[in-house]
Amino acid sequence: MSYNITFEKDKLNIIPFTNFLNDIFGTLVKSFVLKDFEIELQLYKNHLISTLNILKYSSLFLYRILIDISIVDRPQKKYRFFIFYQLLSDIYTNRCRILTQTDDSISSIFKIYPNACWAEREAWDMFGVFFNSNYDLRRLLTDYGFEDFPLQKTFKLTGNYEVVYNETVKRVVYQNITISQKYREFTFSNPWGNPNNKE
Amino acid sequence: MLNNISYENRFLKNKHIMDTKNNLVSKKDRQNLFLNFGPQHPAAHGVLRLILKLSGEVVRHADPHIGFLHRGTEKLIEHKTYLQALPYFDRLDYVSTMAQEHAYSLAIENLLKVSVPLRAQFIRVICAEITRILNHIMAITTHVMDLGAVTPFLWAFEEREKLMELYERLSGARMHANYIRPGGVAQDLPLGFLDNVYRFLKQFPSRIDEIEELLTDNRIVQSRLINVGKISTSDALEWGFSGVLLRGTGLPWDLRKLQPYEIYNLLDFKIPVGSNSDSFDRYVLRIEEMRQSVSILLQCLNLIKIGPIHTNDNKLVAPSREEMMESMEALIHYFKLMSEGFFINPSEMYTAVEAPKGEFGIFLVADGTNRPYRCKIRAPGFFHLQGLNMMLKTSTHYLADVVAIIGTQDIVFGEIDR
Repeated sequence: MSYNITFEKDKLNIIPFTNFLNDIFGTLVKSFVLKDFEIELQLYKNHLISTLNILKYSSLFLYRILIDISIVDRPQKKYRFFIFYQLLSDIYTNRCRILTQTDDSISSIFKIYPNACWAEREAWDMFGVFFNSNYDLRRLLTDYGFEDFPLQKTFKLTGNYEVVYNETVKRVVYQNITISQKYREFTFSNPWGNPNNKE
Repeated sequence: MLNNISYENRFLKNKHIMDTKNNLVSKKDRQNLFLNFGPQHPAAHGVLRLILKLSGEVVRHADPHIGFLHRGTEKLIEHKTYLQALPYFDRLDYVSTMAQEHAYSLAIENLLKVSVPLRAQFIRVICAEITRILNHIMAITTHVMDLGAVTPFLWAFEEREKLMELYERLSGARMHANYIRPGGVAQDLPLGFLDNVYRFLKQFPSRIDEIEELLTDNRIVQSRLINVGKISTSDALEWGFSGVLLRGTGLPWDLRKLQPYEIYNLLDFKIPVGSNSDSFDRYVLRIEEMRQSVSILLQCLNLIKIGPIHTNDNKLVAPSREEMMESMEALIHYFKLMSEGFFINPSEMYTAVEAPKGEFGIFLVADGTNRPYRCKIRAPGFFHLQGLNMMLKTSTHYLADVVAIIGTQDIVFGEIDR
């Protein structure tokens, strides 16, 4: 087990802090990343609940607020969904980020943070990540009866269906999308790639 | 026979109750009623659909259905360059537009590790505080309009119009300003702008006084708001509340003080907190925050200096028009920035600002191209609306209190549905 410690600004006395984190979490956490006062804990998804319990209730951390759950979809990876939990400690005025990866499902954290319910519903709605044991995992933002997961990278920007008023049946019906002009992806990027990379 | 009597008794005991006029009423007739509230309801502040479970007039459960204004902003942002994605943030919470541009610009600056010149920071703070006043005018007046008071709405919207004229002078647009840009602001303050802000600030506190005269001691407002929607600090924290709802519980939590961004640490202002943590406290807090914003604006007017309004880095901010006319290099920079945009190396960062409604955060993931790989928007109203059911259940709340609590949460659907 190796600990990947990277930090960019030497504002805090960071090395003792990571040693301290190591002592507490041990093998629960895969790696710590520290950047500009931001702490990122990367962990396996089966350690999520126990780590969050420590982070919320231990008087050393008291990350009492779940700010948000955000998912990044990287389809080329084996575990394609990168799930970020943004935590905030109101006592120590400190933020922390937890990163786990999964390809289909992960355990729900609504028992620790009740406000995770809607965040998980949104994540399920947008990405199709299933949250085990969430008591209310209905779709949240999309239409009633919607089937796709729109924020997956494989979902087209234009979507698949549209609603129109049908004169013969006298109601709004769903039909396959018809676009008079094909969606134009303006990729102005140059053939030499990112100019910031000085390779 | 005996069996029959006991059956009769049991029947009387369980299935029937006495109503107020001492008539025997079957329990079946007073079952819970499910009421559909919205999505087209004037008190729903947009397109909120609530499935309310009522027993009599008491609300037992509220199930908000959202998404009627879902426009797929996050998906659209992934298909635009960093600069093209900026106007989408105006359209999120359309009553506090500049606060969100500010969050997005800060997120990009944090990823690129760019610092902004002092004058630009002052301009941003002036914009943010004007936005806060705009939002709180809207929040307070529509809130009391839901309770039946139309006058403050009519009169305070004149003040709102004055502020939007200031917006218009800055950016050319009344609401969707697109003014705060990554690296600074779009253009310098127009001539006489600060004088106009000062003229507004001189008369605005007396307008606040007028609103307060009408509302604060008003018996109807008090009886509709006091002890309605009470929450404890621990509940507020558990449900991810921020902004006025969290400060109303007595916790002085304000990112402008605790994690200061821009020049807020140079300014002297107070964080008002509530004592009773009910809807009336939150109304008073919003009034007080407007007064604090006036004070912040006055300090900014005194402290602001002449200087550059964006960074000198031509890889991030387009050069000025005059430069473009003279220098070939500047012209190339302008063309490249406006077509291709700038690039951000693979990294991710969460950036939050204290928007008028609470903590507005951007989780921006860059992958080395000129477009955001993912941009998660953390809207404060999203979590506030989720806590609606919890707020209704803290004590006995009636159907009319639902409207008061939606009003006190300051719900705007642009940011919740995204």
